[in-house]
Amino acid sequence: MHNRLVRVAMIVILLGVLAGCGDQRILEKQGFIYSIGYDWLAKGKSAEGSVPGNKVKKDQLSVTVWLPVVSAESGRQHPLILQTVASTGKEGRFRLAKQTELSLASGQMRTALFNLQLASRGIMPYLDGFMRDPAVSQRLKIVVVDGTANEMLKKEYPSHMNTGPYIDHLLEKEVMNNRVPESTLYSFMRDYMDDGVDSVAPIIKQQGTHIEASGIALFDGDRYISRIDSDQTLIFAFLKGSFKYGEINIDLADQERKGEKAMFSSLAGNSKVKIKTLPGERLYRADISIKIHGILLEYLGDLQLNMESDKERLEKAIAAHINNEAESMVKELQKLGVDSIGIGKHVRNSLSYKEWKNIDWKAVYSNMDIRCNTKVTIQSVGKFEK
Amino acid sequence: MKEKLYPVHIAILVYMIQTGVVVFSLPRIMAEAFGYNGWLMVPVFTLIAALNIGLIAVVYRLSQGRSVFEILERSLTKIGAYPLYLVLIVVWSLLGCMVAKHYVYIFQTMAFPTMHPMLFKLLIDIVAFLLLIKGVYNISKATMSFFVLTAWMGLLLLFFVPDFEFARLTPFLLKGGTETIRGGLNGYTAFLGYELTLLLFPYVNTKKGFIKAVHAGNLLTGVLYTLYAFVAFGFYSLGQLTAFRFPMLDMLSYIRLPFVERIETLFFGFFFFTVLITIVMYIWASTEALNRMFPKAESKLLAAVLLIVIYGVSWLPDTLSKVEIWLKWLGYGQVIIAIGLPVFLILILLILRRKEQGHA
Repeated sequence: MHNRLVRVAMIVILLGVLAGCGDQRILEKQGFIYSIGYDWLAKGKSAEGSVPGNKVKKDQLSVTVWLPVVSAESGRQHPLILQTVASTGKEGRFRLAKQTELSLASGQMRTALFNLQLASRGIMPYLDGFMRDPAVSQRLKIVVVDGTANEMLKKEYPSHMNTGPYIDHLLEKEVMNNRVPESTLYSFMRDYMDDGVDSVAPIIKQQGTHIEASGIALFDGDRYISRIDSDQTLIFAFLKGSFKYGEINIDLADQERKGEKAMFSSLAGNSKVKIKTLPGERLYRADISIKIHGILLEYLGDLQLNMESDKERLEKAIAAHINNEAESMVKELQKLGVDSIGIGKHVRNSLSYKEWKNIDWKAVYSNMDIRCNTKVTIQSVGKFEK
Repeated sequence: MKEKLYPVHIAILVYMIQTGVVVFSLPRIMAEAFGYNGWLMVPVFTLIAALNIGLIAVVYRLSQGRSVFEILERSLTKIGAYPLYLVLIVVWSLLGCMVAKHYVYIFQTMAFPTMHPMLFKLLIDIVAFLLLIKGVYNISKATMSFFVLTAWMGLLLLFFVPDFEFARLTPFLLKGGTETIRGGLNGYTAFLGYELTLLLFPYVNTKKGFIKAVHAGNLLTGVLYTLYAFVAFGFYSLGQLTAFRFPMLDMLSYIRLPFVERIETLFFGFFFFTVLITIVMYIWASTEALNRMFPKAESKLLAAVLLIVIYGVSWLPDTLSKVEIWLKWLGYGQVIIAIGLPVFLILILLILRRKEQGHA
């Protein structure tokens, strides 16, 4: 029995080893793409990668890849940036492969960048390729670039040696702090193929010598429609569901507390959506109740925060401020006709299958009565009281 | 004394035969066939399989532990039983061999795409042959260790808890499915394998507990399948689920450990053990039948010849989708066998019994 198990184990090992002889992948000969960027080239513009001075004759695509390469002589790592012009994403990959002695592999790809012009034409053709390729990770980050992906990847940032990991880590941190929503190939496709929610993705922008997350891209299907600016992104996180971490600066001028400012940190909380059926044309009403708690780290104003009554007044003022912002964001989203928060999921869940299939969701959504109700709790005011 | 199988062996064996390659596409099949909350049909299928096992239980009780082949030969005579044997051999051996090829093709979509698939298939067949010639008792012992090697994988489901959303499940029950019957039948093939316990009668140790063990194995499969499907339905949106060929594989590729990610190839490798048992047991079943036809021949030789013949046949379907079509039809055939054979046996046993009573 023992011998037999050994024999079976040997065969299993042999299976692995022999198979390796057929499909060799030598690490030094692989170029692991870390970031890939797609830019739209409108007709008539000159593009890098094409013959200098030649104008693009038709609408085309510029594909840029960023990959780390370890040189055999020095053992040091340096970035390799390749760029080409093509009419489809796959053709681009094909052309890029011709530019290097390495075989390009997409197994370690972390970020896929699409510039705004391209994103507004739809990114599904590119995502389709990613979905089919079993080498591409489901965790590939889908990112929109304000500017061009090519310039962003090509530029050297003095304090960041490696642009690829720089973008990747920046996004991870921003997602963690709820300044931008997480958008991976998995989550983008999930929402794209769900009938009750629209996809979102972070927008990043090159600002002088650094890159920053500059907002949230709102998609209708696979097309970029509009954006939420970076100072509003936390409000979006509040609306979207449960959240942890994050900080927000609040100017209470709109709450008749001119000149009063508060910095609210270590935020956590959640939002819940309730749907009511209404008589008449508007059909449904959504009540979004948002609960937030956090630590007040800075406050400029007249209230005495060591007094419970004043603290409550401040809580109410902050809640009213956030509520206003949230409601106007929802109105804006309704006007744009994108359900990025996912109200549709809740409406769908309050209906029967037949009712849901019979309504024109987009039209109903734009016309819906959506209200927010925010409750803020100041957990502590820091370790200093005046 | 010949070693015999204990209930725990049987239970694990049944689970391991049932768990095969279909599990990777199961959530998609359920989504396509039944639409929203299609995972709910998985427990229903478990129940259907349990009813089918009920038929086997009746056969077991009536046969009093005699081999199924003996029963068939007593009523149909040896020559009369041969055509039936032939059908069983063809369906079972081809099923085993197509499961192997399916596994190879799926593996190749992830790794080693330019290797010749038949080389992989050959290696799997060699492993299967080595297990096969040691008899069912040793196969079941190997199954126990393979079970330990793969059972922990259920814990991987915990990785999907953060992205799981109940709102995504929707309250719609089984709405929006297409081709419900055909798709449902396809999904049911994921449960096949329990019917092979018909052949285990002579190898069972105690009279008690055998059928309970088969039920336990089926229940374990059912519970795990339900969990997989449930998690998949809350992790993916329905539209997405119907678009994936192998949603379970995509789920595996989403797993990231703090020190490594993209380890689905490794995880998929672990599934080889459950697939191997499926393959081995189907081919074991056909060699059992073959042995009845050629009782004088060396059983190792028969196994070798059978494996060589089906290796030849398995060259025929040369793409993943062709293999899937073969598997689909073989699966339908197997569903008929799984239900038809016990019913047929019960009829024979009842007739035999009446005859015996008449004589007495």
